[in-house]
Amino acid sequence: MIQGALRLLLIATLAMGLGLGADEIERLEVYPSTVTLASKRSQAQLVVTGYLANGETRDLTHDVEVTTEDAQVANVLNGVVLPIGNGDTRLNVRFDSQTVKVPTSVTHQAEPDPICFNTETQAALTKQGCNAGSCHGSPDGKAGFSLSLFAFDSEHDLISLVRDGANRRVNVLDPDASLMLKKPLLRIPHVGGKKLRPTDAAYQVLRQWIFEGAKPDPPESALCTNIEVYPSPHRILSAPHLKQQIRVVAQFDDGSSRDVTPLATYGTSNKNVATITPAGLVKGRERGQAAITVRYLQYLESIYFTIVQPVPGFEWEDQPEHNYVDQLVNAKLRQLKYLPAETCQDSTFVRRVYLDLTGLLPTAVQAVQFSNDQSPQKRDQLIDHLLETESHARFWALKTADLMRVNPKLLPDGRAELLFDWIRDNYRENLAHDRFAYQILTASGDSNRAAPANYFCTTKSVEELTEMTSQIFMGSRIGCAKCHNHPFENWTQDDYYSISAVFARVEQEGAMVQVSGAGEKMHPRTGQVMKPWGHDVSPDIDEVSDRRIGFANWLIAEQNPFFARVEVNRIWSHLFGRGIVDPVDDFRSSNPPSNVELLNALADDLKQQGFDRRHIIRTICRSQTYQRATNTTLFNADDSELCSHMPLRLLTAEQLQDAIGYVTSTLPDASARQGDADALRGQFEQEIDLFPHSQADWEKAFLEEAATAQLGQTSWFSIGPFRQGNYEETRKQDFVPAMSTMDTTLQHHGKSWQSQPDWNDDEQIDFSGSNTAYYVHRSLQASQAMEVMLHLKGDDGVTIWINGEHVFEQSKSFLDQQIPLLLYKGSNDLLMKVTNGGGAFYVHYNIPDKDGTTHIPDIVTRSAENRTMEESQLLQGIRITARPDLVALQRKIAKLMDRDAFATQRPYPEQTDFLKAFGQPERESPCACERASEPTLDQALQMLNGQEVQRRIEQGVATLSKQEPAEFIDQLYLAAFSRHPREKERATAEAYLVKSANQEEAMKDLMWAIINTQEFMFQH
Amino acid sequence: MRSVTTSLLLLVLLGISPLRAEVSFMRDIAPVLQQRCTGCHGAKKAKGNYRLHTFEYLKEAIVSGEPEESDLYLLLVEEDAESRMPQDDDALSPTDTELIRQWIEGGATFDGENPSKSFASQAFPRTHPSPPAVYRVPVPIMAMAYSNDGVELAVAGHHEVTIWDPESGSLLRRLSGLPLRIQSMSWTPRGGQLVIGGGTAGEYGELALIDAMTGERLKVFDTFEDLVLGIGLDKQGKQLAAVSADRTGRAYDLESGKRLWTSNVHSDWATSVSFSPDNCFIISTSKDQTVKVLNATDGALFTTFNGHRRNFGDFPGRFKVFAGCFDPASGLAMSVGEGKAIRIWDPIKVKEENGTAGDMEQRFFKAGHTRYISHGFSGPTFALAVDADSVYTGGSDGLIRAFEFTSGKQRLEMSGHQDWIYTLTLSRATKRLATGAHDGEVRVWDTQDGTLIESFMAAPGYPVREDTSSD
Repeated sequence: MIQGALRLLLIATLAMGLGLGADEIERLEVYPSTVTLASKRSQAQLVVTGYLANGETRDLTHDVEVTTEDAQVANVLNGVVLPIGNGDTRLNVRFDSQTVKVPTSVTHQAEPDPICFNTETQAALTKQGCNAGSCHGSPDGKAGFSLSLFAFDSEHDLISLVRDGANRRVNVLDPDASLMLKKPLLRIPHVGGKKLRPTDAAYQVLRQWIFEGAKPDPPESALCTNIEVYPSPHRILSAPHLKQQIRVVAQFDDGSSRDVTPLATYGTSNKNVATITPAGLVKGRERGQAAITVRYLQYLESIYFTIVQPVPGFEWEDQPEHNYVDQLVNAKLRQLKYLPAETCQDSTFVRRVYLDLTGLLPTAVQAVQFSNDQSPQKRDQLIDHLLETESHARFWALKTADLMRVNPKLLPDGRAELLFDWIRDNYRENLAHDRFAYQILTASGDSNRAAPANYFCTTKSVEELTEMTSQIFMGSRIGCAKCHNHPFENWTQDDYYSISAVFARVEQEGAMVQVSGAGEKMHPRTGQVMKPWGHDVSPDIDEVSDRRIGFANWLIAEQNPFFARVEVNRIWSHLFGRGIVDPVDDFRSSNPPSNVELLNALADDLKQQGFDRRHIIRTICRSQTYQRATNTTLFNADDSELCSHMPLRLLTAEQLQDAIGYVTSTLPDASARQGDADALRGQFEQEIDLFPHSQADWEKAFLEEAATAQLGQTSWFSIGPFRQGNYEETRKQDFVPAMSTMDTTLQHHGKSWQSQPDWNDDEQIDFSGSNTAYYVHRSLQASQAMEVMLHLKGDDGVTIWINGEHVFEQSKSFLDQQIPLLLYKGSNDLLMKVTNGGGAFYVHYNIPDKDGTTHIPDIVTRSAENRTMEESQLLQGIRITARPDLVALQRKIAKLMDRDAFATQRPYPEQTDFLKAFGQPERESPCACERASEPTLDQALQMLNGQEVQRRIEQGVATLSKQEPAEFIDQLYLAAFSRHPREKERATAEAYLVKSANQEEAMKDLMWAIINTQEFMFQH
Repeated sequence: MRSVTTSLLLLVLLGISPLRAEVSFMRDIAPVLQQRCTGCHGAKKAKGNYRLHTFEYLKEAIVSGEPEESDLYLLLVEEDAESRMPQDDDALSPTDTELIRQWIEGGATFDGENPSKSFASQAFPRTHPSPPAVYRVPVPIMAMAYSNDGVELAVAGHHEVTIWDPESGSLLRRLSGLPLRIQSMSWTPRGGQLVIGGGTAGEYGELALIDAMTGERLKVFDTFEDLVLGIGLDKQGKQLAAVSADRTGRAYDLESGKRLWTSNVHSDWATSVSFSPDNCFIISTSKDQTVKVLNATDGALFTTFNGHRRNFGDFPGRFKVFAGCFDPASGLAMSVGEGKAIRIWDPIKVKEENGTAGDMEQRFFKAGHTRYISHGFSGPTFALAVDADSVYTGGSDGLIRAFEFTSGKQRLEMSGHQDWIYTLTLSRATKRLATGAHDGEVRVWDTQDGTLIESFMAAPGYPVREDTSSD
C-alpha cells in the first residue's frame, strides 16, 4: 500500500519532467477485446483506452474511428456495436496511427429475442426512476399505482402493471395507448413529470414488452447473478481529458451474459465532481473524488473517480512525514493539488491531544510542563502517557458506550455501570478489538454479572439487534433491507434475515440472556427459513451450537471487509471530527472513502498488530497529519476531507462542560486524583498482603466469638409516602438513595424520617395508599460477621439494601420468604423499600434466630484449600470490615475513583440541559449521528447566561478570589487555552481587574469572557 | 350546445381539413393542451405560475387577436431550445401550432360550457378510429352483455363491441368506431341498442348509446375525465347511471339523454353501479373500500356500507370493492372485491346500524346484519351476477363459483379459465352464464349444471386456440 503511494508520487514527478511528450498515446486498448452478439437485440459498448507514456490512461471511446470489415455483419454507432446479420468480422479501431482489431461474431439473428420482464423491463423501470422510493416504489405507491422499490418483487409489479386498475396501464394491441408509456412521456398529465423520451433505451424495452403481450417470463428464464463494470475499481481523469465511457455486463445463471450499459442505472456520490449520462458516459467536473454507482436489478457496483484540475500557482511544499499516515495523506493531497498545513505549535498540540485522548483539558501545570519540556520526543511521549491514563480509558469507553445504548433506562439496577466498566476495562487493558467484539456478540448469562450480556438487553427485537450489530461492527445501515433490498448497497432482504437468523435463538428475559436450541427466522416474503449468516465460515458449528459464534468468527476474520476498516475509521473520526468514510456507520460502495489507500493501510495495520486499537490511535496521533495547524491558505482552504489541515472542532458537550469545570476550578484535577488513588490502593493492598500472616489467629478468635455471637437491632425509622406515576414507576424510582451509612436527619423529596419505636418484630407493619412507596430503616448490630435469615412477608414490592448494597428485590405478588442477610461486625444499615399497587399494604419482618447461622463459622472451620474462591473472598471481606482503618481507606479510594462529576468520565449520560444543548446523546440509538453536531441557539444561550456556566463561575471565583490579578490571569489563560496570555491580552485583562471597584465581579466577567471565546469553545 | 357538438362531429366525419377558417377551441386546441401542457401547467402543478387547464387561466397567456404578443404562442415557437415549450420534450406538431396561432388570431373564443372548469371535465366527444381488422393479440375482456333473448353476446373489444353467437362462438358482427376501451355495457330493455361506458385511461371517459346492428353512436350522454367503469339501467329502462374512474357518479334520462344529477361521494375510482329492484336506490362500489347507497331520484347520499373495511368481526380487513348488485327477489344488496367473501346487506339496515359518531365504540363490537358468503378465492374478485336463486362470482383464480343465495352453500364450481376473470353475464332466457378473462377467452356455461357450452377467443381474426375444455 505504502509502496503504491510512493509509486504514484514517482509517476507524478516523472510526468512533470517529461513535459508535453508524455501526452502521446503509447498503446491503445479496446474493451472487450472480442465482441460476441448472440441475439437480435444484443449490443456491445466498446471502451477504448489510451495508455500514455507516463502510465496515465485516457478514454478515447468517442475519439476513435471504428470501421467494420464486413458491414453485413455488424455496425458501430457512437462506440456501440450493433448486429446486422449472422457472421464473423473484425472491427478496426483506429486512433492516430494506431489500430486495434476486434474480432466480432454475430449469431442468432433469425431467432426471436423477446424482452425479459425480470431482467429488462424491471431494469428499464428502475432506470427511469418509476420504482424509486419517492415515486411508485414507496410502500403505498403513488396515485394508486404501486411498484416494488427498485424492482425487488416482480410478482407484485406484474400485477400492478398489467392487471391492477382494470388493466388500464398497458394496451397490448396498441402499445402507444398504454398509460404506462403516456404518463412518463407526459402525453397526459403525470404528477411525477417527464420521465421517459422516445429516444431512451428504456422506452424501446417498455414498448416492446407491451407489444409482445406484457407477459411474465417463462419459468425457465435465466436470472441475473452478477454484474461486471469496466473500468474498475478506480480511474483518474485529468483536465482537459475529463470523459470516461463505462461498460456494464450482466451475467446470467445459464452462463450467458449481456451488455446492459444502456439499461443500468447510474448515480454519483458528488455531482460537483463527476456526473454520468444515462448512456454511461462519465464527465469530470471540479477536482475531487466521487463514486459513480452502477445499479442493475439488485446488483450495485461503484467506480471511484478522481478528477484532477489545474490549480494556478500551486507548487508542492514538503512537510515532514512521520509515518505511513502522512505518506498516504500527502500522496492524495499532492494528486489533487492541496498543500498540507505546517505542524501546529506546542500549546495547540497539548490542548488538542489532551482533549482527544482524555476528553479533558490539560491543567495549567500540565500545559506549562509540556511547553518547558525540551525533549524532541515530547509529543510522542505525551501521547504514550495519555493512552495509559484512566481518563483515556473512560473517555473512549464513553464513545463506545454511546453506540451500545448504555443508559440506565434500558439497563437498570446498576447494569449500565457494569457494562460501561467492562468497556472501560477493555480500553484500560487495551484488549484486542476482535476479542472485544467476540465477547460481546457471544455473551450470555445473568447480565447483573456477565457485563457484556447487557448488549442483548437494550433491544426489543431480533431485527433491532440485527441492525444495531451491523451498524456498530460492520458500519452498515442495513435497516432498509428489512422490507426490501437496500436501495444503495448490495445488502438484500435475504442478507438481512440471514443475519437476523443468527440472533433468532437469543432469549432475553429481564437480565437473563440465554441461547436456546430452537428458533428460526423466516423470510417475510417467501416464508423460507433463513440460514444464519456466517454459517459457511464456521461449518463445524452444528445445529445445536450458538449461531452467534459462526457470525462472530465471520466478523472478526482477517478477510472480513468491514470489521477492521470500520474500527480504524471510527478512531480516525474521533481524532479528526470526520471519518475517512463519513458518516462512520454508512459504509457502502456508493459512499466512498476520501482516501481508500489510507483506510486500507490503517485496517491492515490494525490486523497485523492483533487488533490493537491503542496502536492505531498512537500511530495517527504521532503523524504530522494529526499535528497539522488549523490555519489554512489559498491552497487548502476548501479542502474538508483530505486532512490538509486540522479542522476546527467544537468541543463535545462533555468536553465543554469539563473544560468549564477546569477553567473555573470547580472540577478537581482528574490525573492528580488518579495518582492519589493509585497510591492509596498500593497502601491498601500492602495491608491485605499481610492478612495471611495473621489468618490463623483471626480465625481462632472468630470461632471463639462465634459461640457468643449476638445480633442487636435499633428501632425503626420510616419515611414516605412517595409516589411517581403508576406502580411500576413508583417501584423503580429511587426516592431515597441507598447509602452504606444511612443518615436519618436528611430530608428526601420534602419528607423527613420518622422514628417508629412501636413497631415490633414478628408483627405486621401497616402502611396506606396505592401506587405509593415507603422506606424503612434500622441498624443491625452484629457482635461478629454473621449471616442471618430474615423471614419477610409482604404484599407487592419489596427491595432491600444492606450497607447500601442491593441484596433483594421482589416486584409484585404476595411474598413469604426467608432472605439471607450477610452482616459485618458492628453496625449494619438495613434499608427496605415497600411499594404497594393497591389493596393491603404491609410488611411482616422477623429474624427469629439472632445467633446467626452456622454458615460463616463453617467456612472458617474448613481449611483454606477446602474453601471456594467466593468463600475466601467473603472471609477477606469480613476481615476488612472489621478493620475501620481499611474501611476508611477503601472509601477514600472509591471517592477518588468516582468520576461522576466529570461529564467525560461518567458511565452514562447525565442529560442536563447544558449537555443536551450541546448534543449529548441519550444513547437510544447505535448511530453515531445521535450525537447532534449542529450549532443551535440554545448553545449560545447556555454559554452566555446558562445556569451551568453561571454557577461554575460563581463557585470558581469564590475559591480563586485570593489570587493576585496577574496570577489569576495567567492561570486562567493556561487553563483555558493551554498558553500564557499574550502581552496585549495580559495588559487589557489586568487593567480591567485593577480598575474595577468590585474585584470579584471583575474576575467573574473575565472568566465569563474567556469561556465565551471561540478559542475556548473550539478544539484547534 | 348538443347541436353544436353534433354538427362539429359531422364536420369531422366529413373529413374537412384541419386548417380551416373556423377553429374550434374545444375540439382542436383543448385536447392538445391537455395532452402536452397540463402535466406541468395544470390543477396540481403550476410551473412558472402558468396553469392551462381552464379557459380562465389560459386567457392570461393570450392577447386576443395577437398571436405574436401571446405567451402561449410565443413559447411554442421560441427558438431557444431551453425555453421552448413543452420544455424538455418534442415540439408541438406544426399543424397544432398553426391551429393555435389561427385561433388566437381569430379572437381566441371559447366554445366550451364553462370557462372556469377544466377542459377535461367538459371535453367534446371524440371521434374514434376503427379497430384492427385482425387482432394480433387478444385483449382482456373487460365487459360483456347477453341480449335480452340470450341469442347474442356482446363483448367489449378494442375500439369496438363484437357480437357473437354464444352457443357456437361464431362472430356475428363488429360494431366499430367506439372508444378505445369499453369497461361496462348493457342492452336497453327494448333491445336493439346498447349503452356502453368506457374511454381512454387517464384522460377521457364516454357514455354512449349505440345501435346494436350498425354500431352507430346514437347519443353521447356525457364525457368524463377518466374511464367510465360501470353503468346501470333501472328496471323500467327509464334511467341510466354511470360511474367513473374520475370518481363521479352520474344519472341520465335514457330517452332524452338529459343528465339528472352528479354525485361526488367517492374518494377513489367508482367501479360499478346498480339499481335496486324497486328503483329507489343505486349502489356504487369503489376502490375507496366503501359502497355508497344513493337515492336514485336525486343522487343524494343515503348511507355508506363499510362492511369492506372492518377491524373487528368476521372477515376483517380493508378491501377495495369492485362489483355490486341487488338480489331481485329479496332486494338485498351484494358487494365483492378484495377479501374472501361476498357481503350481502340491506341498505336500510345499514343506515340504522351506522348510527352516530357517539355510539361508534359500541358498534364496533356488534356483528350487524351483514351476511358473508365465503367464496374462498385467493385474490381479488371483479364480477358478480345473480339470478333467481344463485349468486355467481369469479376473479383472479380463474374459477367461477355459484352459491345458493339463501343458504350460502356452494352450488357449482366452473373451472377451465387460464387467467383472471374480469366479467360475468347471465342470460335468464337461455340459462347461460358467460365469463370473460384477461387472456381474451370467453366461456359459456350452463347455469343448471355448470357444464361448458362453448369457449372462444373474442378477438376477430386471432388464431383459434386449441380446445382445452376437456382438461
